Parts: sequence; C-alpha cells; structure tokens
Amino acid sequence: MKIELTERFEIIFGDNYRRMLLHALRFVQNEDDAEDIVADVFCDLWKRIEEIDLDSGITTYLYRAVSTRALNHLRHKNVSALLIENLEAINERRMEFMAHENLEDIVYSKDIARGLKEAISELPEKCRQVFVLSYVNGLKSKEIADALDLSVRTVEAHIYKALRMLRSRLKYLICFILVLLCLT
Amino acid sequence: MSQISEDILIRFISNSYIDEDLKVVRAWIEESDENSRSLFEMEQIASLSTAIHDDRHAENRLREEIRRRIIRNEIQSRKQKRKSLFLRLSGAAAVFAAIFTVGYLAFRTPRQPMIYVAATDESISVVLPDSSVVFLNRNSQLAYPEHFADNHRRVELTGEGFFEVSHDRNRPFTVVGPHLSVEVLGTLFNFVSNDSACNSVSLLEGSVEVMTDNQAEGVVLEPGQKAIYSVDEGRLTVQDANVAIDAVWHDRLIPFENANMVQIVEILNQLYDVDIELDGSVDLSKTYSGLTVYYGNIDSTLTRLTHTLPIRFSDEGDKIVIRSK
Repeated sequence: MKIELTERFEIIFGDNYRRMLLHALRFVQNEDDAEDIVADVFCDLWKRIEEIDLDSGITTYLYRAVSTRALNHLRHKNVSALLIENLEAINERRMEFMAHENLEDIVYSKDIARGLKEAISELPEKCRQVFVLSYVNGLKSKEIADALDLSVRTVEAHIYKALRMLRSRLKYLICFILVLLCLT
Repeated sequence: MSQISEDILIRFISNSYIDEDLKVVRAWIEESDENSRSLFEMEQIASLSTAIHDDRHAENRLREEIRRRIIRNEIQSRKQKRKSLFLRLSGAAAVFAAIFTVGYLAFRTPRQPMIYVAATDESISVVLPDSSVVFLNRNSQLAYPEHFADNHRRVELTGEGFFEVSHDRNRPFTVVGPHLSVEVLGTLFNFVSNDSACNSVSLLEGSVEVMTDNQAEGVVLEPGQKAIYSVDEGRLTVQDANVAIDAVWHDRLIPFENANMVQIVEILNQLYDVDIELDGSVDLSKTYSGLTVYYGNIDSTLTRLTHTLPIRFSDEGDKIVIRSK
C-alpha cells in the first residue's frame, strides 16, 4: 500500500513540478522563492497523501495549493495589499479557466509535445529563437537580451508575439484531450 | 472588446509586471470570457513549452530539497515523541526510495574523501558534485569523491546505473566497474556493471568508449547501440538495441515511438517477462507514440493502455491475450 503511494507520489511530482514552478513564478517573480513554495506544497502533499483523493484533480489541487502558499508568502513580505488583491482576483479567473480544461492527462502525450514543437518551428526566426531560449531552455529575459544583443523589452515582445501566434496555431491542441493519438 | 495596451500584456506574461499593470489586466479579463481565455491559453502554452525540455538537473535539485524537508520533519517529530505523527511521517522514508535503506557514509581519507551510496530496496537518484545525475537501480552501489579533480571525474559502480553526465570537455567522466569501464564526454547511458556473467552498456545519447578490464580493446558506441560483455568468454560485442527499454527502470516511463501493436507487445514481453499474444482482431497497421507509466505489474500497465488504445486484454492461464475493443 505504502509502496504504491510512493510510486504515485513520484509520478505526480514528475508530472507537475515544472508547471508548479512556473505557476509560483507568476506570483513571486523570484526563482528561489518559487522553488521554496513548490517544495513546501509537495511536502505537504506527502504528509496528507492518505487523505487526498489522488484520482481526481490532483493537478488542480496542486495549482490551488501553490496559489495559496504564494499569496501567503507575499503577505509576509512588504508587498502592497492592493497588488495582492489584484493577483488573487486574476488567479481566481485563472482557476475557473483551468477547471474547464482537462489538465490531468496532458503530460502523457508526446503528441502535444510534437504539435507544439512543430508549431514552434514554424514561428518567424527571431521570435522562435527567443521563445525557445525562454520557455524551452529556461533562460531569463535579461539573459536572452544580453546573449542576442536586444533590449529586454524587445525580448518580451517576441515572447508575447510567439505565444499569440502559437495560440491561434494550436487551437486544436488547446482542447487538451489527446492522450495517445492514433497516427496511422 | 475594449483595447488593452499590448505592453501591459507583454509584461504580465513575462512576469515583469509593475503594480499598476495588474489592475488593468484584472479589469480586462473580468470584462469578457474571451479576454480571459486568450490570456490563460497563452499561459498554458508557455507552461507546456517548459515541459518540452527535460530539465532533470532542476528536477533533481527540487527532489533533493523535498527529501531534505521530509527528513527534517521526521527528526522533529521524533523529538516531539508523538507516536501517531511519527508513524505517519516515517512513511516518508519510503518516498524518496531508499534514503533510509541507503547506506550513506562519508568516509574520509587524507587524500580524497569518497562518498558511498547504495540503493537496496528501491532505486534512487544521486546528484554528483558536477551536477551529473546517476539513477541507481536496486541492489547497486556507487562511489564518488566529494570533489572531482580538475582534469578528470571518476566514479565506481557495482550494479546498475543510468547516467546523465553533464558536459565538460576538459574533465572526462569515467565509470569503473569490476569488468568494464566507460569513458564519457557528456551523455545518457545505462550501465549494468556487476559480478554476473553478462555486463552491458546501452547508449541513449552522445558518445562513450567502453573498455574491458584487460585493456586490450576499447569500443566507441553510437546512440542506439548496446555493448555486451560476456565475462566467461572475455568477449565484448556491440549490437543495435532498443536502448530506451534498458533505461525504463530509472524514470518508470515506457516510451513508444511510432510503434505498432506487435512492437508494443514485444516491449511489454521483454519488460515484464510475460507472454502476451495478439488476437487476429487487432489492427496492426496503426502506430502509436507516447509515454506510459511503468507500473509494478503488467495488468496495471495494460489497464492504463486500454484507456488510450483500442484494445482490451484477458488473462488466459500462462498467457495474456489482447483483442480489439
């Protein structure tokens, strides 16, 4: 029983930790704090693993746990109450949006990864280069700006443009229902 | 739809927003569902994009951190002598595999302190001082120095390990075993190195040179090749192999790449040492790509596959038969 839980915990961790780091960064804007928050959430999940229904909505649960902890983290810092209130309101909308998506199975699909890779490869050259360095390779906007001799603002504009183009290109993938797609 | 300054959205998506931006973004997404969808779909694409690239180093760093915290919790709860809590937390020992079944002793000699790590009941992962990662299979031991030398990195393996060696052209990485040694520049490979009759090295990415203990021959492997050393005959042979299968144990994921049902069944037979037969009703022309979780038993894995493939299965004595749904 315990062994099975252990395996499941490991799988849940592997499937979710990247998404959770990125999610935490939407609040705290600092990687060390984000890692700290995500580590806390997974520790807490382990402590409560026998009380939690792992079969339904574990990813949604984690998103909520990370949001709560990140907001609490900000409350203990010298951050304006108004900023926290706005972040919280935006996050409520984000959670509503996610509730409509089937988030659980995304990671099992190589086809989503392939569709995404193809769509990325079709982006305009500069846009693609910046986007890959940013999300795929995990560099910060400042690092990319220095490497490519661009301004940070230009780098961020490229990233935004890439996301906007990918979104319209990937409408069909955004349904997130593909698991193992039949290729024939 | 009212206009929002693109600059504000750019800053928001890049997490470089300023206080005033949030108020504008909030008002904008509360105005219509379309506005909020367009923003959050972009966020999801960003989040999926981060998953394309396997950042195992970051993953392991976080894993280590969580492991440390769980252990710290356990020590605290011991001090508090609260039995019920202690019992619950001691289950945490099982989480990161073998940390409690691991013999982890730092053993100091004046010259080069070595660290010995052993996995007994569960496989574990170890991050080396150069941030290379080694997954140790059950009943395996690894020894490595607390600090690597300036001109080489040398570790010793007994048992089975999966290596993700960080690239460093100035410091070759060598894994030494009882019969074979492997020299690496930066790569992914699986190494079975023990006293059994058959030792092997499977290369997934990069390049390695495999040397036998009699030093006479060194063989350079290409990705997708496996070097097998027969201890009795003292002979090293190289063959093309499904090397990904040799590495399944380390991340518990079974990869399929454009595989039809015959190939999928072959992989499962090999992994679980079972006898699966395909009924004539199964369509062999279709191919599939993806990952599936490597469960401890074949039934769980097949059950998972029936959710995504048009198949069903039944146990029939000493074999399992797969039919079309």
